[in-house]
Amino acid sequence: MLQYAARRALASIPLLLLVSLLAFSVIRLIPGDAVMLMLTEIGNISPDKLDRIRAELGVDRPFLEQFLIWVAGVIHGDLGRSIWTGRPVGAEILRTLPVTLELAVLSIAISLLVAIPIGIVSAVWRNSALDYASRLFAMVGLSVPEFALATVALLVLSLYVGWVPSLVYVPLWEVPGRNLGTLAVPSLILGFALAAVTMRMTRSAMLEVLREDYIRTARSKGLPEVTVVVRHALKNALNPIITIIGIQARRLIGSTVVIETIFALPGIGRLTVDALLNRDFTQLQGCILVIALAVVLMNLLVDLSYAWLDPRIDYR
Amino acid sequence: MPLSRRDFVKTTATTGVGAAIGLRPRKADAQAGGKSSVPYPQAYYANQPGGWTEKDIKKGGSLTVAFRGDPPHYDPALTTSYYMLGAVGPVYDRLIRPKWGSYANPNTPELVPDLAERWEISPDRLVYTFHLRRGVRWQKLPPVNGREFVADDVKFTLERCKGKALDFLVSPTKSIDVLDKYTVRITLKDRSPGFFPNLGSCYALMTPREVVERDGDLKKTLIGTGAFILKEHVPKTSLTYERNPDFRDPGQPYLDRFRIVIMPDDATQIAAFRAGEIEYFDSNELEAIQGILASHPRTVVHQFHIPAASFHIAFRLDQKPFNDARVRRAISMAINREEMNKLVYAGQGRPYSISIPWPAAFDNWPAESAYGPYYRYDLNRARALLQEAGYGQGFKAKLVYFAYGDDRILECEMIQNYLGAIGIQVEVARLDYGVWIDQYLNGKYEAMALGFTVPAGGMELGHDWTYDLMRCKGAKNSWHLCDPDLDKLLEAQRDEIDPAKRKALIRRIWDMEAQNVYRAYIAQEVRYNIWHPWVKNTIGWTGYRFDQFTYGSSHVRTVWIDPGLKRR
Repeated sequence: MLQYAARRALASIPLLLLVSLLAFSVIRLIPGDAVMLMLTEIGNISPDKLDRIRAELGVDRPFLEQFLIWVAGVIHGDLGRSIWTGRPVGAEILRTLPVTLELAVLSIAISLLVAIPIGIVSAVWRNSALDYASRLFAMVGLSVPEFALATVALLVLSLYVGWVPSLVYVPLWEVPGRNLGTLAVPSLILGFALAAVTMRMTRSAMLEVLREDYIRTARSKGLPEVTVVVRHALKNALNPIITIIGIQARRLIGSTVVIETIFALPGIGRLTVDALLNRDFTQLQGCILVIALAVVLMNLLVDLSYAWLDPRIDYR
Repeated sequence: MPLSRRDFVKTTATTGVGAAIGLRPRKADAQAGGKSSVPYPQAYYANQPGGWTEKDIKKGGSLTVAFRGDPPHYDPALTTSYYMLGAVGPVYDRLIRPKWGSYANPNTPELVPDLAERWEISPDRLVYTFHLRRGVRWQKLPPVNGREFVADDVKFTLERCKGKALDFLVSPTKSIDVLDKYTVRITLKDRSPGFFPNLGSCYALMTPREVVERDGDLKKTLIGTGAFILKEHVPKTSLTYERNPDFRDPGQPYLDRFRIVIMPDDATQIAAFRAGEIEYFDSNELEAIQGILASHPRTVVHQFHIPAASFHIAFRLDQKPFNDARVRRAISMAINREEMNKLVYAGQGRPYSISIPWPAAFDNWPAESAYGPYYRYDLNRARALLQEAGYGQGFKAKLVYFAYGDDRILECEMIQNYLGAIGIQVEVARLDYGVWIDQYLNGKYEAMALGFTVPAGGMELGHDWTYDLMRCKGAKNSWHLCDPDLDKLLEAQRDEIDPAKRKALIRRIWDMEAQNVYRAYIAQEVRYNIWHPWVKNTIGWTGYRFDQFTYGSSHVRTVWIDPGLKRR
């Protein structure tokens, strides 16, 4: 399996290069540039001033030269400096990435804690009131967008409870209680949306497995129903559930942008959107690379988990 | 209870009458203590704050306000970014400053000493001599370490602005001479009415030499002579300031702590305000504000109109058909501004506007008649004017805009309908911000844009808002406006020393703008500053750049919190 993981890691290098090249080109195709935006409020922008700043920032060089300089920097662990703030891109990503990771981990944890038990109950007691209630829960989760849920949650909490989660983020390792308080509501909202999909997948996978012969055999051996469902059915139903969790984790990157904006969380999603709006090419390029890397890693983890869950799968 | 439209008009009229008969507070600055029984008359949508005197001021406590964005850095010479100015304002001081607080005139800057204790201006307005306060010290932080603020610092700060974003501050200067440790003399090349007032603007912040010598700029280190010291900046999260214990005025600041939290989302700001997480924010969402008033009836809601954001239809004045005044007049007369005000701003905006700040040309808010005949809604006359100009069959034209909020979208749709009624088919194109800025500020738009005016400085309400914007060779003339008669008036107001005569000249510029419809102004936006009743001596933002929060938060040193009201 190690060999397989190493092979996959190596294969991802050209993929990341390709993503970077694509991003590098597409970003520069967008009209407008950071220098213009930086000088917005001054109003009187003389062409020589523009040219001077562009030269200082290196954005006047040929495209390929800019790309090669950037790649050489990345190889040496230097993602460059933000055109907009002058701060190192790598440091900005390191500052914001843990926020998004924590939000993503908490959301996925909440979704699993909610979705898997409900999915199992729904499958085991198929067409019961519990099943209908679970399916309704999933339908609501699927149809209500996260931004609407977040806005309504803030409104209801502030209006009727007179409380909102602390909207000033502090890192987990500094004040854990306040950090979890800040992230609780956004994680619940994201977790709820994720749970809807996972719950439906759990239900359908479980329904399929529960019809298998080996489940009937397990029951006929007189095993307790809990053992049949958890040890025999659930374990065999996990592969599609893991696949959907992998897909959901990738989807989370998009969802966190909105949630981070609404709950004023300084995560990588907000950093990416701000970089895009400010035409901060270097910052945006760095963010895209890290997000692409995260997606590659997530895919690898999902693939490796198949073998861990199902001994029949062998990576050679 | 919210004021009705009638009450609002009454309040505004009272403001004008009060100003006209000279009902001014005796001390218009919190530093000296408000002595008047009521703060400066203003348009409050709800809960006009009551008066207070110096002995009512309570020291201590903290204030948290919301900003939508993060400062890119702390160097005032390199950008005029709105968020940068808000972040550095509590830390830096200026030579002179406008009066602040609820007793200050929000319409006209009244300049008072800050780091300069007095000044002399030569009769020809070409030489300015500033005498600095003695014993003012930079904050005790390395590498400045509490050194005394001296005349060399003024020269260093101003000379550093040359060729940078703040070039407009020093471009009129011929020389900056240090006469002694506490005296600096600035000589101008030509008369420049904006020069002195702009030294009191939120841009003209005195900065330390040592940081620039160490780091090359001031982007990363914020050390000033101001009332607050920046303790922590968590990018995209918050900026926390604590009172400077060595501030030159031992009585100030009144607050122990000031915090700016970054909340890009309007709904989040509203929720956070309701829950008491923030104590001040600004908005244009009247319905949301009414919701806040329903749950928090004591909330102070101050209403204002932004002259800089007097949105208008910007024409390519150098091209057909917009180089014909009759076409522009027809377009202006096709716009139903009263209706626009009702639909877009719930009747709370102002139907008529021109971006020249009215105090520069009038004593009170100008009446409808000040806008001349072409701001009246008259479709028949508009069609006749088009016919006269040879466009009886109408024409097609593109209108570009950037959606600064949903209101702009609605305004463009309405303009499209109004112009459609006189045969002008408008193709509306919403641009991305980067493209918009490039096209609009550089005058590259094809035909029409939903534009606004961006003065440099802006403290001087006549010259700053006209000269560089409306002159043929004006550096910020995005409209390709070139009218030799107008140029003569612009030069004349620049050279005129007598304030009354200058006001008359600005009025003539105003009349030319209204008569020739260089830009067709639409209904004027209304915005609101919202704060909890315990926040005292602020009026928030009034739309001009000499005021509070947003464009510089320096005035926070004169804001105080009433703990009794906060507990209730």
